Amino acid sequence: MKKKQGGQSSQQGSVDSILNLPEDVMRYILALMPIRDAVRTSILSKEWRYKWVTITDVVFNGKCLMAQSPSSSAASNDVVFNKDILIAQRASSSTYEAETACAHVVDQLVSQLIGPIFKFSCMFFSILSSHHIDRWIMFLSRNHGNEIKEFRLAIDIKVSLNNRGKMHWYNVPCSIFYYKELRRLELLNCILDLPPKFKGFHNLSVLYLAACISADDIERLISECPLLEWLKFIAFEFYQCLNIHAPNLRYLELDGEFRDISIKSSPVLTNVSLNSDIPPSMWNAHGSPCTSIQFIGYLHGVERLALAETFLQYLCIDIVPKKLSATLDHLKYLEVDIELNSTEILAILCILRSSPNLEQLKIKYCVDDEGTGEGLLEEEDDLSGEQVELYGVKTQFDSFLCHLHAVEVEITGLAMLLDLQFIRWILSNAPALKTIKIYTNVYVEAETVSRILKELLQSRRASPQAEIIYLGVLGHHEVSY
Amino acid sequence: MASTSNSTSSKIITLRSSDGEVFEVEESVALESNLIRRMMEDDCANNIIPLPNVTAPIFYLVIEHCKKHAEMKDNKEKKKELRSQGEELLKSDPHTYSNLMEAVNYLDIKSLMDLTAQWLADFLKGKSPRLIRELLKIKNDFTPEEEAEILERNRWAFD
Repeated sequence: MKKKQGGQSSQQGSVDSILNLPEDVMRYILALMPIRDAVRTSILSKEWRYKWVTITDVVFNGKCLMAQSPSSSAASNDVVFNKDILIAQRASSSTYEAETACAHVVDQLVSQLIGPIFKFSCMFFSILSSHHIDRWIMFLSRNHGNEIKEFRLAIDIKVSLNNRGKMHWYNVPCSIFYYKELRRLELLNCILDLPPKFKGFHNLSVLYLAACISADDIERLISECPLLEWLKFIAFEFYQCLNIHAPNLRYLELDGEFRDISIKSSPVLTNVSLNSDIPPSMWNAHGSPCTSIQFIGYLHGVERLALAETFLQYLCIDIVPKKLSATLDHLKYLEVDIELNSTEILAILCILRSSPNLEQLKIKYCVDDEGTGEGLLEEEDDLSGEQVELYGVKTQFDSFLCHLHAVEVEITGLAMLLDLQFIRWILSNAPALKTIKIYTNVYVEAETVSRILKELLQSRRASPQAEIIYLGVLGHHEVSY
Repeated sequence: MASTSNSTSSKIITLRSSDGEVFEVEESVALESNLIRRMMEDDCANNIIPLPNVTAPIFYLVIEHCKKHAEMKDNKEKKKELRSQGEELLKSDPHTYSNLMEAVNYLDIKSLMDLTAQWLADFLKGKSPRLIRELLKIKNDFTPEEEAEILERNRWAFD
């Protein structure tokens, strides 16, 4: 850049120059601030008084109503506002009053807004009865139902527990299904009943539900959102079968008990994450064979696959095939949680054999309380013929690990002999391996860590450049062994 | 001359600020501005592009920040550093800040729009109204009664 003339130095005005910013710029700026700070600009001057009322996003979380944000107390030089004004919630003695005060804030705030509302988000109020939320949903339907683009609601689970300790979920009013312009919908800890007349969300691209919803309803909801790209569903009930029809889906995350999952024509689906925190043994009586392993075979375009918590066990209910029905040519990243050890390794191997281009593998050992005992070491005795072959000297390896260059291992609880054998097996079979990174948690003793490292360092390596790096305790990186 | 030797291959665009100063800017930098991009598509590429709403000192700041922004792309530290610079500018010279913000808006530069808007949002966040008034030279023209009414209206926000 060439500067050919000297410029004038900027004049420092003696009046509020920020005020001259165009209205849409000001709205944009106010939208970047927490709603509380946006409201606070109303006290600055008459010109500023009504600037904030054009905001289009109503974003509350339980915290921002209940407590003063630490930053504001730290930076505050202004005595007037701290000394004399008591916040209603703090002064109130009963939960009921606090709840009313909280709800009142939201009511008051939305009643002052003059423009459209594009976004309404209420996350984790800890003390709110359902009639308040009902009212807001009705209000939005009546006044902003044709413009609202983003709706997020998360009910605190503590509220959902009624006094007998039984779960009591919030029943979402069906008017929410008529917000035609929704791009993003998040409903956490709710009951959902799809109205029979539901016509679909034609612009919805993000759907996040943690809900009680019937299989029919969830399937219909998903298939009536033709532009859906991102779906996360935490199911509170057992599903015999979930059929997903979402042609534009890119990201899928399912958490819960699904006997079968089937997915039709999602050609751009690249990122899949499947979780379950309930071991299949708890519902094993449900009869027909599980097809989860087949489901994974249908994910032709998947690039990242995560099988979290006990999900891997679902794959092992029936006989695990040597290979999936199709090759996952695009799979670059695989993440698995191993809980019970030996048989799950067969399922991992099945996926590894079907993923010729895999580059990264992350293994997390999650050992539950009972699993941390010495007993697991004995599992070695129950090895199947295939495992013996796997860990034995005569391991036959084809080309399936040839692109693997990074492995991460997170060891929680005791590191079992068998686990080490699996990692050693990877070391001796992955010719392009560059790093194996190892983390542990606080329950793993330093002695165990050094034993693991010693054993791994002595192992044979197919890749001369493979490095073994110990990264310490997860989340406590300052602790070094 | 700010165009460096390693980028001699890139095309140079000539722009003229409202106060008549002429700037030569690398095309890649100039195209960050959607306004300039549109003007070039409308075939003003061989002429000097006039920018009647931007003065030279402000345009200089815009270019400087465009370059900084390009540098920081994947650098978290630099990103943080750039984000924190707004505090200083707003404290020392709110007038220049609003001129910069207006120029960025006029030139339609998305990346700088996000950055400079965030500066003011961060600046206003958590400060007491009294401090904001003092720093931004805002005159409190409310009567005590009016002020009390506003506080009452949204009490929760002023605790």
